[in-house]
Amino acid sequence: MTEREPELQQEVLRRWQEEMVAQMKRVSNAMDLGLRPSEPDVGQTPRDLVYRKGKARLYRYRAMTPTPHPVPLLMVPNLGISRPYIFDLHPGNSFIEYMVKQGFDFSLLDWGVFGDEDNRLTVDECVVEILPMLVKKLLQASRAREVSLLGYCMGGPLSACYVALHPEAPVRNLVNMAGPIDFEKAGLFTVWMDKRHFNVEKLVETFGGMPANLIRSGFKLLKPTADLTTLSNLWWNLGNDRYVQGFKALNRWSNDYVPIPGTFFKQWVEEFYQGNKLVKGELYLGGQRVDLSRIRCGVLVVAAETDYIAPAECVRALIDAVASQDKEYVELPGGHISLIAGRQAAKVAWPTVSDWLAQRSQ
Amino acid sequence: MSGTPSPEELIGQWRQVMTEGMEAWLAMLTRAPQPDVFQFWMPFFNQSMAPLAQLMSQGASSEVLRFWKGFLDQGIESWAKALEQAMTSEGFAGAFGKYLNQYLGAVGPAHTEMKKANEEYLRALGLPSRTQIAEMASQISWVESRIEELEAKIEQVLAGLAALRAD
Repeated sequence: MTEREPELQQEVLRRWQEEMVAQMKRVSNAMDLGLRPSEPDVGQTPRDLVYRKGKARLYRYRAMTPTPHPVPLLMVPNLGISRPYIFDLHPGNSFIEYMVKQGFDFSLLDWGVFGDEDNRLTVDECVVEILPMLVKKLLQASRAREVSLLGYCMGGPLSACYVALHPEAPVRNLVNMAGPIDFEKAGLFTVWMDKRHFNVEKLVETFGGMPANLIRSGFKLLKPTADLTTLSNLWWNLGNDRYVQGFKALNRWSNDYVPIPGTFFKQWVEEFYQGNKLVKGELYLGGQRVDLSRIRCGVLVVAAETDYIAPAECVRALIDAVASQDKEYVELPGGHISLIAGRQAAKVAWPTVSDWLAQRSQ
Repeated sequence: MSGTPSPEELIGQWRQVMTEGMEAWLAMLTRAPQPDVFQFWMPFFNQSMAPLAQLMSQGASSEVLRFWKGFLDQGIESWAKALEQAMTSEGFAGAFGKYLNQYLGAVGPAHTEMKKANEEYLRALGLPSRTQIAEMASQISWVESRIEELEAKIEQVLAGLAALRAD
């Protein structure tokens, strides 16, 4: 028996015990996922309903610091497609929770779940009627004089349109997170929605709107291997309770698709994707031309390196289009979703947005 | 243990399974109906996981397993790139559009008929149809908007009055 043998035996025993505990956790989590698929709790940060219009709701999450930033933040997400609880997934993995802990008075627009009755909703209505009203209501509720706007995904161009049409609006800052601006560079969606191939009129005529199941198919087709990666990562991390909890919440969200109202969808495809009118300065909303060079407030554009929904170069276009003196572009690692949920978001994207806004929200 | 395949052999098996899957997937993409992504890939994923489970049952070290996971991720990523290339082509966009048109052509009339039948059924029961409810919701939304406009005007008038009083 050598001198080190008892030490080695101890080490082997310790590692064996560790491995057993990990394996038991894996089995327990796998059974939990397979046999008792409980609904994860999402959207737990306390909030107040500030305003409602049609299906749209404006929720306010109060800052959790003794001295909040005086300029409140309004987040405008995508309309339809997915639900906004991704921004408040679960405690410890919530963009909203993070921001209120950084002292932001945070408001979130929930566009709602659309039905047949909403099929006449237009982009004009969203930009010219709903967004101005939300800004007004938020200012009243927070007793502030200015707001910062944060557009995510489709909310990016919608917010940019609003600020461009109302340069006098009390908007101190505009943040575009993964929001497409130059639609000629919008990757696979640009190719697939080319007017020579994609008959949006027929689709809207058939269904009235863009049904949730077709949106699901489109997104799944965009990255057919995404589910494999998800499963592979889940398999690998089955022993990690925190990972499994996050997976449950994210998995619920990623299968929870929302239809897009017909008129809105048709306008979105024809004018934004097929006509690329926003960046060309040819888009008219509410009878007025949308000129992005009228944007003069502080602008931050955040794109993701491997975003296949809104590729970085298509998001970046806002920086070149605005007339703002104070503007910044950052490209972060990860994809479309990893800007707003997950470990990478909490480590990089959220602090980037929070730090930039904090300096400009005094 | 001559009957137990080595990690290299298992990786080779897995690579073959995924290559076959990739070829089948690419072939199916150009045909209608489009495959369900999840259902299509699940068996391939399960098959590729089987060698990994075998490695684990052989008591493979965590290094081997980590290597396997890295290899799996790299494989998935390179297939994702290959698929993306295939799907960026004009040919794919054309085939996709054609398929969608065929689908709408087939589904459209059935959808309209079903809608009509539903409306008639609801009418027979003396219940409002979806169209009528949608119409009513639109009208409520219109009334809400008008009320908001009125509120805004009243606020303006009140603000004007307050300013006058202050003078």
